Amino acid sequence: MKILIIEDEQALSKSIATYLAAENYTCEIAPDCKTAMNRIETFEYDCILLDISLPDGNGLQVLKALKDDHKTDGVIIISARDSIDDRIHGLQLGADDYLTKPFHLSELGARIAAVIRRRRFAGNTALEADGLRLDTQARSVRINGQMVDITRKEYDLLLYLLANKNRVVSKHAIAEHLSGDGDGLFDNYDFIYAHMKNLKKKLSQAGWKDHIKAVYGMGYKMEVP
Amino acid sequence: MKLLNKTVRYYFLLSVILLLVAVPVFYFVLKRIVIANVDARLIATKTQLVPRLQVMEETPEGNNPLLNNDITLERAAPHSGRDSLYTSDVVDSNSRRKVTYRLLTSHLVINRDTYRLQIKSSLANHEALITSIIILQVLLLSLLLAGLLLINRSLARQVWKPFYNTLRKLRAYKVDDAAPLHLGNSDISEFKELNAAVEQLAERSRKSYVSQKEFAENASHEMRTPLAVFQGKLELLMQTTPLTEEQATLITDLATASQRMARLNKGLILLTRIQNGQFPETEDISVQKMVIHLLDQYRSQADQKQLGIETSWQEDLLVKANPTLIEVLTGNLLANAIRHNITGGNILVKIAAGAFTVQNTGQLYPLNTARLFQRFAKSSADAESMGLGLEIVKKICDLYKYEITYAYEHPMHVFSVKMR
Repeated sequence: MKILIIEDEQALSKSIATYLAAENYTCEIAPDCKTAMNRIETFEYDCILLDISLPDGNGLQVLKALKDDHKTDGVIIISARDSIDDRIHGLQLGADDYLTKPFHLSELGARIAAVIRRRRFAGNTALEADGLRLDTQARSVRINGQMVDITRKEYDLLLYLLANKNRVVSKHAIAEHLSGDGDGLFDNYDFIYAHMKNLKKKLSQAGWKDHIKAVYGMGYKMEVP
Repeated sequence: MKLLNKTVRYYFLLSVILLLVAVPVFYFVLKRIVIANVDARLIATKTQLVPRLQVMEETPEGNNPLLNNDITLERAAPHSGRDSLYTSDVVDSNSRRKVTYRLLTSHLVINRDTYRLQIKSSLANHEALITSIIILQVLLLSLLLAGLLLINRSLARQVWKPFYNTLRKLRAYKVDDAAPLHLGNSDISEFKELNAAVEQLAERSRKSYVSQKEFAENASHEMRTPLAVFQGKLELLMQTTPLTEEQATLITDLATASQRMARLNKGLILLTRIQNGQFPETEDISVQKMVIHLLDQYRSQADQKQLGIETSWQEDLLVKANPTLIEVLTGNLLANAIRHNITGGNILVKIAAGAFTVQNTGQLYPLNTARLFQRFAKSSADAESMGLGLEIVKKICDLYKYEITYAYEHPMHVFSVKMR
């Protein structure tokens, strides 16, 4: 899968590229509008990460050019601006998602996975890991064909870990993702232990080998081959 | 005391003194003039009479046609004194009323006998005239004074109108208003200068406020990219192997700190945005629905502390406002009730009589109300609370003119927002 990162801050684009490389994404970096335009004219990408404020112009013009050419690349805007207007404007121009800086790389990973699922497979896709099958359309989880009854939060948690499999996902990122608490009202991450405990219990009761490892109170990692 | 009253008081005092002094003075002067006039007439009468009397023979005091009620002649002891003029009250024989007369007594010798000639003239008519004149004068002066006061008052009201306009506008002016202060024009140069000076002052404070606000906003925005870099690198650091527990703990602490920075940043930007009035869109919102949704969202956090949450919906509160802001407002209050609660504590969420109320258990003493809604005024032991939440709540309440109150009703902390 090919990803284009249009971002002028090199430290950030390199971090994103490194993180995504683990998921077998091939990343290309465009630090300005001009390079980005050249790239999108020549190549097709599964997902484009687009910063709005670029040194030589507004990132939204890249988005416009894409839509004018009827390209089907998925686009996620990553911006320091987070007003509703910016968001609505970006989404109206045809972006698939909008992520405000600073964000967790794991959150970005999950969003990219979602966009690619929607774009490439028309949303009709399942994630698999060692006999576990998570159907994002039916929002169901099966283990060796057997339906597992899990709560909405547990489903979100499992999907998040699957989208970032084989990488450590910090408890902060999980907490923010689960609570949908973008405004950061809570500093307490303890509640995710309860969800994690229940999820792991249900999965192992259904006969799945526990691949979710706690990493020194720092976060969790789903290790699947 | 009003400036108007102060000046008018001096005018009034002067007028009363003038009135009190002028009227008696006028009275005496008038009286003197009248008396001098009467005296002159008496002397003239005498000068006319004397030669005619002296040519008379026999008894001049008899049935002399020259004598009458006012002119009497009677025999007297020889007298060499001069004529005397004086005022005297004489009881009138007819009406038995005391009448004031001006009398001229003169001694003259007729046929070797000394006679006393007395000529009198009544002052009653003159006095009536003087009294009328004085009454008229007092009346006139009083009317003049009253008129002056009235004119002064209405004139002052007119003249001071621009001043009161300025005052009213200044009272209503807030430095965070988007529009500069306009005080309007005045014909009076003093007020014109005052308005100009005040406008300049307001503009200066508004500009410095705006630049400070812009600084806060720009700084907050500029901080986001480095924060994103920092957070990203930390996540990459988490992926490194081998990773010791010691390193993991350090990374976790850093991640927690960066998370707090990100939150603080969000809070500051939200505050500036509220102050900038960047939430103009409004729609009809059911506060009850919003609160139920938020309670569901915060369920995990509340369960973690084993909190008992009770709700009481006496009515549904429908408000016309920006949905984001109402969500932030109710969300912050609910989150505070959860965050500052004790394990196993209680929360009561209530909508009644147009007010949204959150009650929660927590520390066993009231919060410092003076600093409660101020930036970074932390009052709980929770070191991680960012101290912006209540200020944001307050700003939203200010924006929509909601009234927020806090009370400590042992053992509950009660926050109530009157939205209607």
